[in-house]
Amino acid sequence: MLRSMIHRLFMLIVTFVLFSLFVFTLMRLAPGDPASMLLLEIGAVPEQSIVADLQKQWGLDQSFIQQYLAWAHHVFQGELGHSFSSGEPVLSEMIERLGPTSKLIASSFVLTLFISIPIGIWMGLNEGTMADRVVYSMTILGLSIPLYWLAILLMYTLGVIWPVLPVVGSSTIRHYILPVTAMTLVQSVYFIRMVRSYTIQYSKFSYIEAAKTRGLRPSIFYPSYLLRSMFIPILTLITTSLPSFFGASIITETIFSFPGFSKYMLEAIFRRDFPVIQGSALFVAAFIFVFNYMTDLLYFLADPRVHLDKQRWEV
Amino acid sequence: MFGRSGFGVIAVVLLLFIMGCSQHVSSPSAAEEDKNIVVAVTQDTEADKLDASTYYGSRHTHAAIYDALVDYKGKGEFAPSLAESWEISDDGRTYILHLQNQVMFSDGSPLNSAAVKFSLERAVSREENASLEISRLLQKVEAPDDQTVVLSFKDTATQVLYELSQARPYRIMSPNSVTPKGDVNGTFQKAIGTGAWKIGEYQPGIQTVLIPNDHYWLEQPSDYSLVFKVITDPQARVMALQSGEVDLAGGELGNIPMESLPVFQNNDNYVIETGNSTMSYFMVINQHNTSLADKNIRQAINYGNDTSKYAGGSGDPVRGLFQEKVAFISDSNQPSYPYNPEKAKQLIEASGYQWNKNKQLYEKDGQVLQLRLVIQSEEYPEWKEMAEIFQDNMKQIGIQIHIVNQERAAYYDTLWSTKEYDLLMYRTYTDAQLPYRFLSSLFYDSPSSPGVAYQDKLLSDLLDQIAATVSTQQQQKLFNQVFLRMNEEAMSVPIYYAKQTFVHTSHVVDFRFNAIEDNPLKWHYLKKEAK
Repeated sequence: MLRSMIHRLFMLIVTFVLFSLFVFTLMRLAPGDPASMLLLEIGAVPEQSIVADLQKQWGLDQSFIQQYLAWAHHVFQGELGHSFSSGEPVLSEMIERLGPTSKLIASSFVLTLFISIPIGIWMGLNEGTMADRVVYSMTILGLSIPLYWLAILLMYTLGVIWPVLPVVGSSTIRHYILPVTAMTLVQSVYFIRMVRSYTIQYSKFSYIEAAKTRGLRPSIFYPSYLLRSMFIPILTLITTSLPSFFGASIITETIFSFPGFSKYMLEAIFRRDFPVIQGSALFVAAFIFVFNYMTDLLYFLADPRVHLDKQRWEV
Repeated sequence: MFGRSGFGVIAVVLLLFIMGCSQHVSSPSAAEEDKNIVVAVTQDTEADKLDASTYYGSRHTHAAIYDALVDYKGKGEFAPSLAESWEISDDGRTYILHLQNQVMFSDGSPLNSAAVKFSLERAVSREENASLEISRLLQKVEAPDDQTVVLSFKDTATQVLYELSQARPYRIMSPNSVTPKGDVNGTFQKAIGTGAWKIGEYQPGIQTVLIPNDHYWLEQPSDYSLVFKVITDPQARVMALQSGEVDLAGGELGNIPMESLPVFQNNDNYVIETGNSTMSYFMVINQHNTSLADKNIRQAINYGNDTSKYAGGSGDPVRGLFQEKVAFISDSNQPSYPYNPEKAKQLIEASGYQWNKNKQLYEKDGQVLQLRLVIQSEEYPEWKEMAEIFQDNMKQIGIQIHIVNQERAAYYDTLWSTKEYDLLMYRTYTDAQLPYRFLSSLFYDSPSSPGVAYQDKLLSDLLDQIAATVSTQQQQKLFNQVFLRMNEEAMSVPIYYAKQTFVHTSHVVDFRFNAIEDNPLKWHYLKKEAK
């Protein structure tokens, strides 16, 4: 176990280095100069001399390797640098903006699970019935609706035609209802289809069939047999879908004017604010890596046949 | 692994956690709301960094908090503001400004020559202002008495009043805004100006509440608070207006898309206000393209461009690069190319191009006359449609246009660095930056810094002469030559004269445009009538 954890940690560092190098390279290859962008953003003319001064001040006149090493040096000291546009430390700006985003993602994540798992199981157990077909068709429709469009539709319906909820902002719980609903609906349709498919697949296993034949009470059958056997694929589904929640939050925060982390990251990309982009990408990567690692631990806890150090099933 | 009860407990804990995380902010009462005029803006005001000498925050917030020494009235005319009068020496090297009496900053401290000296020296000391004439040429600022400021320049300075009138960086800030107090290099603490407003409450990225400055010197302070609410998505701004969450939106602060305006037309609950702008949209020409190096082709593009088609024909007739409201522009000194597709075709043929009947295009040496037009639609969504109309205009005269819509950063990189375009859609600056500052930024060519939009020695010489000329009459004569030269050489392709469009709810009254776009509205006149 310990050996496995050390191995994981080592792999994590290597992945981080490669990932940061990738983001760093990508940013330098992208067209658009941060100094010119900043000057244009503030309404100043990007004259050559000022651009050159800013580039020097930010270390952009140095070679690629020098820039990367300087940045990596700061990162190892726990600093993510200062934003080109605001001059503030990236870490503190990120922490400030993580609040609304974490609430948005966590709320829609939990709601997605609570909506999609029961519906998916119910559909799987009633495969081929009229009700299953109707809900399945609705999920196809749901999959083809873009988040942006759905968000606008919700805003128009519940904010304009029937003005019961605010359409922009993030100050109160009421402000979260529309964006969380939009994200949850879009994510749920995918989850429902996957859980339905797992249910159909797993309910055909002999031990599930046997449990059903024994006439077990639903309160025992579902949690102890069906859900338990589906735990690992559902966990995999949850883990792999996490980046899509981050992606959805970028669109949602932009439309609903949330001053969150995802919008902050997107604006930094448009402004070519390298320290913010690099810091944010590193944070998202770290979050997903840690989440994946915790998932692996849960795999192990859920099924002792899974060996963490061997990364395979041992039956 | 876990039973039903366990599952339920986890669910409840998670939901409680989420609910607990959500900070509950009590909604303002109806009475409080009636005292707020909520404006949708795209950009955060950055009120905690709103130093008058910097570019942080939006221009309209700077202009609402800080007053200028002189006000720009349009057409190159200036009116007193914090300076009640001024004298300029014949050589243009000395400016003596006489300050208004009894003016106070929002913290109650008096406006005096020491405060002006502090503000100007602080702005000059900042690197990002280095290209402005005041920063380049200012030798010293003297304060012989409390109400007089003397600016001495090391060379003739002709743009001083223009630059002083801008929303930033030469507006006047209280020396108490920094610590240590009055230190030119001190750390900014708080925005303290003499303007009609002061910062009330600031929620980064969400909204800024501006409250009336009780010490406002020019007119009666407003009875309302002004709330600048950040709404980045244009459709969200439209819906925020419809839902009543904002009272006003539009202009450069947070434009309402043209296609959404019909929502508010013929609707008693909303008023659409259209005001003048000094901005123009135009095509930058890359003269290094072989076809465009030929003056005939540049002129042909201008003759073939039917400007009446843009924006559904709603714009003013386009006569040249600049609108008539711009300083030094008259109805006679800016020649232009009237729409004449036949003349355009003659010019193209005169340059050796032949009509290809099959392709319905001109070609030379087997090469079709085709051009790459670069645009961006993030900041100016209407450019996409305008580019397509331009494409159609050019097709009528046998020129093929390939439109490339680039992401904002890539677009600016194309304009300022890579130059990978044949034509590029751009816009002029606004207000007092026109025409000199704009022309010197884009059309001035020197060995060390090649012209961005065009390179022409004669034009650059004329701009040099303007910079050294104090007399307005002499400047006018030189500008006449500039406009003539630009037209003769067809250095650009004018497209459309922009307008400012705002939408507000009908219970907002006393809506008035300002003379300048940097500070588009007379905010302190706005009132709300009972719904």
